[in-house]
Amino acid sequence: MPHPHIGTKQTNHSSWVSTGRHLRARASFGGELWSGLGWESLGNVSESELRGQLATLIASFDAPVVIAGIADPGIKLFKLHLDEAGTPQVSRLSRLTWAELRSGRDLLDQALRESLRGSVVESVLVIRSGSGREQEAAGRVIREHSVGAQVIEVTGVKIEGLLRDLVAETPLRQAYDLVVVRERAHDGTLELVGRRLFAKGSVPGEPADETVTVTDPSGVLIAISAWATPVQPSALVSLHHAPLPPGRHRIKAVLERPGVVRFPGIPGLRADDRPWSEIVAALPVRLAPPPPPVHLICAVEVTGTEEEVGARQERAGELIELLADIHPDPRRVEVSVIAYGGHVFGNRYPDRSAPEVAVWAASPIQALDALRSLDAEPSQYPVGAQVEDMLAEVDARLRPGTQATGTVLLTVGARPPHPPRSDTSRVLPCPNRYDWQQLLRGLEQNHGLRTGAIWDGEPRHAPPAWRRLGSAALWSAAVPADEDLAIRLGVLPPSSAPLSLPLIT
Amino acid sequence: MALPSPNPTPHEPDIAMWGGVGSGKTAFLASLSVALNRAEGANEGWRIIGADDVSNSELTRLRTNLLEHRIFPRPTDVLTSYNWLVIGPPTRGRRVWWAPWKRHPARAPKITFSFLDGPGGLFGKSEYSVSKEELIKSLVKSRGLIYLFDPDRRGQISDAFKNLDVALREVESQMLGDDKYLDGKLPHYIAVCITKYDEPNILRLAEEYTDHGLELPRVPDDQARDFFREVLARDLDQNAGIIMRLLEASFHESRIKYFVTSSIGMYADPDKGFDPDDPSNIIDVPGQDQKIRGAVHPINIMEPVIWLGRMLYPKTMGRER
Repeated sequence: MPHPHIGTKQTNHSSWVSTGRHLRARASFGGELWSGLGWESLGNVSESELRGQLATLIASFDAPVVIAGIADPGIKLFKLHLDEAGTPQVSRLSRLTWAELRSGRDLLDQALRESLRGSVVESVLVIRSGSGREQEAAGRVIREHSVGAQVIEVTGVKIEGLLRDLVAETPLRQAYDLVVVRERAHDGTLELVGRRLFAKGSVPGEPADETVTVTDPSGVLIAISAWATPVQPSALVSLHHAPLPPGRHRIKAVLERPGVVRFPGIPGLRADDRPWSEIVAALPVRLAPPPPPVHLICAVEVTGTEEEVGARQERAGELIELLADIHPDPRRVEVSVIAYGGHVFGNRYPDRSAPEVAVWAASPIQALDALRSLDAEPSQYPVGAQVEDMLAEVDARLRPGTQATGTVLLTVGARPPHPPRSDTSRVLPCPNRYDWQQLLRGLEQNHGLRTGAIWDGEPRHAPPAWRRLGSAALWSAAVPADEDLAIRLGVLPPSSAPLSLPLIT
Repeated sequence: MALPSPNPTPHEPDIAMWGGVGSGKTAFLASLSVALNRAEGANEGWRIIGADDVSNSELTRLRTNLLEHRIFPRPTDVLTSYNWLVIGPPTRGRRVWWAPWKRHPARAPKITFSFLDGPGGLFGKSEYSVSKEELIKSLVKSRGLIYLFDPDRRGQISDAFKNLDVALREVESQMLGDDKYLDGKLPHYIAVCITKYDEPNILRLAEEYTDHGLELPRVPDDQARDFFREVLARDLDQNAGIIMRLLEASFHESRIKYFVTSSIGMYADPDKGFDPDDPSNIIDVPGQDQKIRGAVHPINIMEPVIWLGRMLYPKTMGRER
């Protein structure tokens, strides 16, 4: 059933009138009908008759009813009304003892005035369970305030308890729905809909259930809305937060009483008092698309101190673990680990050192093992590292068509690449004359590679080469890798607003 | 008009050397012995020895640093006087008319080389006045000069100018005060060495003057002056352009020769040889001593010395220019 909006229920004014010895609700759009009835006594009834008549009244009234209970200890005034969700509610307005009333009639006048104030039409029902001079006098005062008040005489009834029991036991006057979200077929936008839990007329104790999908790791909101008619806008009956993990859940509900739905079997359930409008406004327009397969290539510089290399391993490891934990489909995650060091200069023989592929396109677990197995090496040429040789290795290993897989190169290190030829940097050229910038451009163009970097220093002080290597994200090796880095690298989908309500498909 | 004699005296040094801060004076000397040992062809058979114990041991230290430890000599911070002797191959004995069946014994040319090694900025600092006096004395007494100019010390051309200007004024005031040198020019032969040719940025700057037809690039001597002029012209310091005019005003033009030099030469891969894309023979790591990367290939290191020798001893060495 479409759920255009959830707002304040609008009700017509109505009142109740008597037919014979029965109370029944009767619509009224002004005071004329009521005002012509005058004081009416319905005479003596038994407790069960009273219970039946009041139950009928509670199930059918629309406008508020003031009920005066005149008993031996004194007089109590109650108000029977419908709340915003159309749920009958009874509340005690005042309680006066005869001793108090003897001290001044004004007290009763004042209480009645306050009880009847602000209503266009108020119905007054007097239930007299005691007799005597004071009770008679109180009746006269009430009559002065409401000439149409009806009087029921009954013996030995505790009126307050009776009213509260009857309100709690009354069948639902409106259907109750669980508010859920679904995707519109034609454009994938989300819309709020209601899933019927309790039909109109359901009685307390009735169970219901609904299977939904929870998408927000922080839990789900369980909102119950009431429907006056199939097309009439509804109002919110209750709102709870359930700390359920993402996934499919069968939510069991029990109608406790009108206005109260219980959810057994959800530990940690708590009422949520946020405004409904705020919750609706925070809902995403669409669900986040499923992330594509990911191939994360971690290229770790192993030259440096053990602490430096250890920090690099730790950062790369954190990202791999994060991928394994959070990626919606870990089976579509591949990880490669490449260790690279520095070129060696000043030896009699040409430098033959090359990056080492510790593991290629493996599972996150295998990649973590490979990452941990890397050992730190002393740096023989501390102003440059074999970044360009590592890029050549990646280029050689990536096959055409890898664009379908989100390939991400994460370079973790400190030293800049060697230039292909002598330049102003004074860093000696790569002995293999690899051009790191050309290789990087080729990888980006041919394989759709995204590049991120974790640099030993503060990113704002990073030299241009490291900024280029960290085009998508440049991170400090001193800062733990987190979801933000993963999102910037594109290995996790961008976080959209969480869907706090249950999803149905 | 015949030029005045540089007035050689047997006990005075033939050649003195000076240059600004970091101009590569000690590297030049260290490389000189290597260059002499490796020389082939016309320059083969030369060597350098210490004229005293201190100079000998210093020579050994310089060679060891350069060839074994592969590092450059540390900058000089105390004034030390060294005396070396550059000895050439013996010339064939000369016949004389009164006894044509006899030959005079062969004679090896010997060039005394003094080097007063002190802080490069000596002339700019008043606290070195005593040392400066020593150096001036050395320059005055020598007959040939090697002046080292480092084109790679950006922002220090001003120091080089000040160094040269002050030194020349001091030497001129001592030598030109009387009527000995009537033409008002210093009598020395001077080899102006533009050093550190192996630096990649100097190599690039020298590209249009370079002869690439050799195993390693080299700026021919006849291009060196033009290259020096370009180096000076490219410097933002307005005093840079005056350096050449100062030299050519103080010395006879015919006694000045320019050399583009490198103490260690360019890097040549053992398998592939020299690659213009990878010329640097220095491993330069900030905070550490510079290290020499490959084999030392001195460029134009012995040539200025031998040129000066030929100028000073034309009879024994044969004059050429």
